[in-house]
Parts: sequence; C-alpha cells; structure tokens
Amino acid sequence: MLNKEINDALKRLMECALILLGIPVAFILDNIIFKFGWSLSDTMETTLIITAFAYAFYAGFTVFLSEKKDNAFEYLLSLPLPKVKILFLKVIPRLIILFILILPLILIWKFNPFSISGMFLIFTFFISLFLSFAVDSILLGLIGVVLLHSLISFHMKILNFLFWKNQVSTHGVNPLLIIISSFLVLFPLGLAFWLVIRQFDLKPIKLQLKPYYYIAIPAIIIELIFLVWFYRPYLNWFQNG
Amino acid sequence: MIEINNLSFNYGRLKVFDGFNLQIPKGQVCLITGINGVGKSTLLRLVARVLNPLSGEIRFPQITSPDPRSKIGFISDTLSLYQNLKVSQAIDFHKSVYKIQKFDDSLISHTKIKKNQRIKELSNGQKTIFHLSLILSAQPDIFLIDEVIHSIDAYLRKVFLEKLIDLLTEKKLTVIMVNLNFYDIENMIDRVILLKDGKTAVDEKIDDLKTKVKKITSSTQPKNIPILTEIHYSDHADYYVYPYETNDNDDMEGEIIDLDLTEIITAFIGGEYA
Repeated sequence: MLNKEINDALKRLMECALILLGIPVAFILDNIIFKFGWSLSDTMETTLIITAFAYAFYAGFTVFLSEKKDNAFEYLLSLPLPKVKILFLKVIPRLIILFILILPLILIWKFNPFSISGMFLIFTFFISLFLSFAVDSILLGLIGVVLLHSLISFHMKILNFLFWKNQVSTHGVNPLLIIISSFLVLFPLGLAFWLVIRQFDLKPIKLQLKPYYYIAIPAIIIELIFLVWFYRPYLNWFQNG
Repeated sequence: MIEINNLSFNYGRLKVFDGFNLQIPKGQVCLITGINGVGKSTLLRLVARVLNPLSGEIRFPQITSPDPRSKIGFISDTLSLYQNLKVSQAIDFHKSVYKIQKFDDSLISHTKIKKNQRIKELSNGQKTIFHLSLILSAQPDIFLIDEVIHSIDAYLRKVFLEKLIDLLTEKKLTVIMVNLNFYDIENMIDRVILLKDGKTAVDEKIDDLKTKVKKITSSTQPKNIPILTEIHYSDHADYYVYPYETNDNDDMEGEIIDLDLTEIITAFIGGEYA
C-alpha cells in the first residue's frame, strides 16, 4: 500500500510542480516587459514557496482522492488494515515529499521551517487534510484553508495583546504564539477528523460528519466570539502603539 | 461460522435492521434474497465490516486472526478497485496487504487481461474476474458475493463456479450470496434466507423449500394453504403456495407443479409486491 501512496503523493507533486514553469516565464517577462529587476534567485524562491504551499494544500486535501474518484472506499475498508495504519500510510509519504520540496528553500535560501511561513506550510497541509472529508469542492476547500489561516492570524494578534496585557513578553511574533494559535484552530478540526476516520464506513459521507457539526463548528464559533470580544481593546492597544 | 446477534443498523433515519439475528455454520452456502432495498447488500457489507452496526455484533468464532477481514473475501456489484492502478500494481498491492506470496491466476489465465493494463481499461466482467482472483489469492474462509456473477460471460462463470465448488469441498468455505438470478448457482446452495422489513421472513434449507413451495394450476382457489402470489388466466389461475404439505393433496383440485429456485424466489418476491 505504501508504494501506491508514494506514487499518489508524487503525482500530486508533479501536478503542483507545473507552477515551477512560472520561474522562466516570470524571469523572461520581467526582462522583456515589466523590468521590475527580479533576480532569477528571487523568482525561484518565490515560485518554490508558492509551489510548496500549493502542494501542502493539494496533498492534504486529496489524501482520499483515489478512493473518492475510483469509488474504492469499499475495497479499502474491506482490507484487513486498521484505520490508523491507513491514515499513517497516506499522510507520511505526503509529509516527506512536502519536506523534500522545502529542502532547497532551507538549504539555499536559509528558509526556516519553524518560521511563520515554514509552520504555515505544515499547518496548511493539516488544515487541508482535516477539511478533506467535510468539503468536496476543491475551491471551497481552498476558501476554507484561507479562512482558517486568517483565524490563526487573528488568534495570534489577540493573544499577543493578551500576553502584553498580562505582562508576558512575546518579542514580536513568537513561535509559541504561532503554536498556540494554530493549536486552537487545528485541535477541534483534527479531533473531528479523527472521530470521523475512526468510525468511517461506507455510509454516505454526509451522514458521518456529526463530529464536525458537534465539535469543530461550535469550537470555531466560540473562538470567533472570543476574538470579536477582545477585538476592540486590541484595536485601541494597536492604535496607541 | 458467522453469528449475527441483535444487529441494528440505520442509514440516517432509515431503519434497515432492528435486532436482527442469524447463524451461518461453517461450510454452508447461503443465499440471501428479497425485494430491492430490503437490506441484502447492507447485510453483506455489515458482515464484511465495511459498514459499522449501530448496535449488536457480528462474530466469526472460527477465525483466529486479530482482524477477521483477513479471512473474509467480499465482492460487490460496485466493482470497487483502484481504477488507475495497473493489473500488476493491483496484484502487488493486494499481496502486500494480505501478506501472500503467490497470486492465484487460475481465473484470469482464462481471460485476455494483460498485467500492464489499467483496471479502468478492463470490462466489467474482466474487473469482476480480476477481483475474484484477488480474493481467492488471499484464501478466505468466508466468501461474500453480492450480485456480481452475472456480469461475467457464460464460460468464465462456469470456470469460476467450478473453482468455487472445489473450494467448498476442499476448504469448507462459508459462502453468502446475494442474488436475484439463480440458474447457475441453484445446485450449490444449501440454504435460502428471504429478508422482509429487516427481518428473516423465510429461512429454509433448499430441499425443504422445494418441498414446501408449489404451484397449483386450478380453476378454483386452494383452501387452507397460504397463497404467496397468484396469476389469473381466462379459464384458470396459477397459485403459488407456501408452506405446502403432502396431505394438502387430498381435497385439492388442479395440478401441483414443482418449482425451481428462480420460480420459488419469484413467487415470494411477487407476493411482497402484490
């Protein structure tokens, strides 16, 4: 099964790698038309980051694509494989390829995988993975990922303010803030996803989404209420420097 | 052996089984039948563990492996396989999951399936034969077959059924079939179960069933025998009766005709729609 999952993950990578064709195109266009003075190195770095984000989303969101497209859930579920193992075999190759994709960024451009963009890459993968069952359309999935990333950023701002108010030093954007903010969003989604996977069977998927309705959605609504509640004091604090 | 105890299952608000019980001994070939939508395929999927029961349990006392699915072969009419894999890749995939050394190609050797073909390029009949080959390679103790045999051509059907009969004799394979067309399989079936409203309406050994279900062609309606269904003609009618007993003969007018399995099931199902 691992071979099939590695092949699937590589296929997704090849599809996303089409974005890399943008490097020579952007470079040539800049030289001929735009004259922004983009260096090849800058163009490559930007395009690789975009490719890595696209792959993180696409690989996570399409983790069960072959089962959905080929109507193969029945076959998969009839195999003597625990669901944890199925999930592990699907997620690990995709994560490894994601890491391989950002390896040149780390080696050449000193890209820090624990920086905001580095962690957002990993979180993008997991948010997309957790949404993959609940959302069918790739466009809605992408909108969902963008909204949830915005929620994480919103959490970071408010938490930064609350830390400051309680005289906890945060030194700007601190990795702890990113981890707490992401955890607040990822945990209810991940829990709902895990509960769905654990009980997953051949019933129509919409009949199996109760954990999303009862855990993920209420948790996100509560978080939004919390954020809105603190938004005005945060805004005053922000405007007063 | 398969033991189904107090099984309940719903699709959302639609109740399919409520406290359903069934025991199928090792080596028995059991036919599950009933009208469309009664839950035949759902029952097979519950036994195959691709659906989870709401409550109750399905036990396999003679299967010792931690995951009973390693000894259950399940094929349905949805022909669920990874369509983008090549035949050779699908074989490797199946071998790696079931940890089997050798693929049983005795069925596909009769076909024109090539190992470098993609599954999606195979016809429905070829897909069925290929899936059956995958299942047989894993040497199951329990074989669940849902409505697929009739997508195979007559020759391959014969080859498969002969192979199945060999396995029934050699391995005491337990088989549950869901089928609405019985010409080929009638001689291998031991027991017939008719489902109605999520319960067992009829559960008989096939020989008993053939003794108990008769067609009476008569101009007058038979008395004191429950009629399953009746078809009226200008001067007479066919009455399908169950349970018929030989002493019912005494005061009966008309001709009593033996039925084959297809006619018996048609009578039961016709009765349900009547």
